[in-house]
Amino acid sequence: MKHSAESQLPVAALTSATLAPEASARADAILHGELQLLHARTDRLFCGLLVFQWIAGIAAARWVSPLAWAGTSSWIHIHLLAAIFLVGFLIAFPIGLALKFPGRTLTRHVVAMAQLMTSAILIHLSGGRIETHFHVFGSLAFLSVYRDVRVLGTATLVAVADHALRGAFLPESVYGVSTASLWRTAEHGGWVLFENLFLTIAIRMSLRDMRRSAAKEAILELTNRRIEAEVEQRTRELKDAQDELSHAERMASIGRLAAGIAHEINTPLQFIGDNLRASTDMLRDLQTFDEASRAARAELGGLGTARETLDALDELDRQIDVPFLLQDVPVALGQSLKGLERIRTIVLAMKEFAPNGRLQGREPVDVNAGIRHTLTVAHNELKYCATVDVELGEVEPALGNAGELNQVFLNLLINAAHAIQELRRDEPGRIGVRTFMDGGQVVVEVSDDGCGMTDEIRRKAFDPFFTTKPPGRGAGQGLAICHAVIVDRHGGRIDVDSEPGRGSTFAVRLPAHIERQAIAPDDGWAAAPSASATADAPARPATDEIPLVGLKGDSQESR
Amino acid sequence: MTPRPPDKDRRDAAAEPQPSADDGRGRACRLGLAVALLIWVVGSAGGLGALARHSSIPGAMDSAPADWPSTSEQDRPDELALLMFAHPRCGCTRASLRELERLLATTEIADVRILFFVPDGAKDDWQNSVLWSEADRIRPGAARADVGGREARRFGARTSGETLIYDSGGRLRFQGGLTAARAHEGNNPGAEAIRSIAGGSGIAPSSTRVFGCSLLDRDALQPPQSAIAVREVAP
Repeated sequence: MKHSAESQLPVAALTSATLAPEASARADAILHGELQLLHARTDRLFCGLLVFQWIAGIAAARWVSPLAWAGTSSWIHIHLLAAIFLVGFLIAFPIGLALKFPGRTLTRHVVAMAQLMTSAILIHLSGGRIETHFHVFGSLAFLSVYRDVRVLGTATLVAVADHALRGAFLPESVYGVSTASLWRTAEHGGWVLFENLFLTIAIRMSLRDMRRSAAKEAILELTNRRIEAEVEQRTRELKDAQDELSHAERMASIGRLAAGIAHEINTPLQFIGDNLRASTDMLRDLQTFDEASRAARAELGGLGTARETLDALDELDRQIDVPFLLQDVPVALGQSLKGLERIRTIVLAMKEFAPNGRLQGREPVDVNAGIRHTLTVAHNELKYCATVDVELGEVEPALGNAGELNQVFLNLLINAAHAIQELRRDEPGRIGVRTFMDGGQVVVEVSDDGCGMTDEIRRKAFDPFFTTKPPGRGAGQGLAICHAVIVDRHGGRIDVDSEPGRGSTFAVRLPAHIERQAIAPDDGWAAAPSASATADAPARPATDEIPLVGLKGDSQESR
Repeated sequence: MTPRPPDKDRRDAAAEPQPSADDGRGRACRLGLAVALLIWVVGSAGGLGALARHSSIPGAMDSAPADWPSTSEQDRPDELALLMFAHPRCGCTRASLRELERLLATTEIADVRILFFVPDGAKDDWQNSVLWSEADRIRPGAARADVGGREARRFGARTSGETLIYDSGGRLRFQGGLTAARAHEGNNPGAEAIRSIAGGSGIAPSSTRVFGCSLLDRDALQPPQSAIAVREVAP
């Protein structure tokens, strides 16, 4: 991963000047957002403070001077009225602004004015007690939470103006003495400025920290964005590579099976060729007989020696054996047609096994059809070592990629065949293929009675490049690809149950496609769940020429 | 409950530019805010000014008798005497008592009498006020009841906090208040005048304004005669 130059800068150097333009702009935006939030939050804090002061003022006025008296008569004291109505009016506008326009510049300046006017009222009502002047200092400190020096300026102006005016016209209300010079106001203003000096320094330091923090966050964001883009790119490349690998594996499988498939195609081709050659000879004989017959009819028409002509025809008939020809030619042609149909089936299976295009999307996949195509392709690989029992139930389509799923089925079948061959027994093994529904999932089970696995091997079975096969028989990718395809790419799961010497059962579970639709069997393979196509069960269609069951003796091909 | 968005999201939302205020609605909003701001500033400043003005309006004041009234039930003093008339429930008088306390802390006046107005037939709660206790604390035994405000009438006191100084010959030396404004503690000309009199100096105002509640019922009051009269008298 590339590191940006600014990410290696010391924290203290993280200012706008040292940042790249993009990071600088982002840092400014972050800082602006932080300040906006801070201003809005502080507005709300001041809302609470102003209301609290209002209530406290009312309570204090209620306690100290609730009533004004004239002998035995009394009425509400003006201080209590002022606490309720004047202070209420004073805080209403800033609170309204804080609620309606939180974070706005006007809001915090009005809040500052209201807070300092509250200080003025407090000082006035306390008779200019010097202790109440601390309210001014406290208010300024609280206002510095805004991190806006201009707000302190507004507050200072209000405080100084209040001191100056009341100092001039009613000094006892602000200084507690009846006479006060302008210097007294200047002195109070000076103390306020003195506090402002510290607050300004604190605000600037805080803003610098915020700016630095924003710069760091901006750099972090940009770095994260770059990393995310890089991860995305790498993920895309990895997926492409996986697609490539998966496709290559399918192609390699077909390559590995090519000899067997060629044999599968060659056998019908041979007897088709033989039949066609025999048919050609027979048709030539029939043509000869036809010509002789025509010649005889011409001679008989000229009243020649009819007996000799008929004898010649009989002799020719004996030689050619016309009835045999008439009986055998259709048979030969019929067998040839069947041979062609079988070739078509094999070619179709190959085509379906490795669909064109490596980056197909997800679509409803007929799992049973995929298994059939895979069995066709792997027929020659399996028939010399095992009997395959197929029990394809009525299952929903699975959402996925047909080519990838076929690859999984093939890998499991080849793996089963290898496991059976591992035992090196005389009689063929048994491979079971079963599909059924289980709780909204399409389950494909491939079992064998091969060598099985120990627990240790079973735990590693799906690890890439792990294999127990001798060199040249497997690179340890088959089951790893199965796991990646089923779990990572189809959201399904694959489990294995195995016992050394007894065999293994792989169970693939795939989420069924949501749209429920009946799978119309296109031939006799999709039997009812209970209809097990076994060697002893003649449920297999008579037209089927691919003897998946009892593959050991292939009478059709030995013709 | 709606989950609170993370700070980062709220901050980014806050950082988004505000809607343009250039449209008519924005202008109207700004104008409305300006008007509201103006009303608020004027209203607040006016309220503060009115409050300040109220605190500087003194209470009513009659001229006290130049000699100790013979009808008074109070003993004629044989030394410098300080009489303060107070309403036991007047909040502003608290400041007068505090100023009295400061005055007595620095000035030697032995004869101090604080006469609290008590209506005729009043219950004890009039004598159990905070101010009464405060007066007792300042000078034990100084607090006395002025039932029906008769003594106040005899001495011409009309406003709570009004203080009179009579010398040993029963001659009036000072009349006025001990605060410079309503309920405002702090330096004031009244205390300065009394200090001056007690110190033997006669160059001081003998009358200052009084700030406090009215001692007597409104219907019993006469129009003020010398609300802010300040006159110099010879010691």
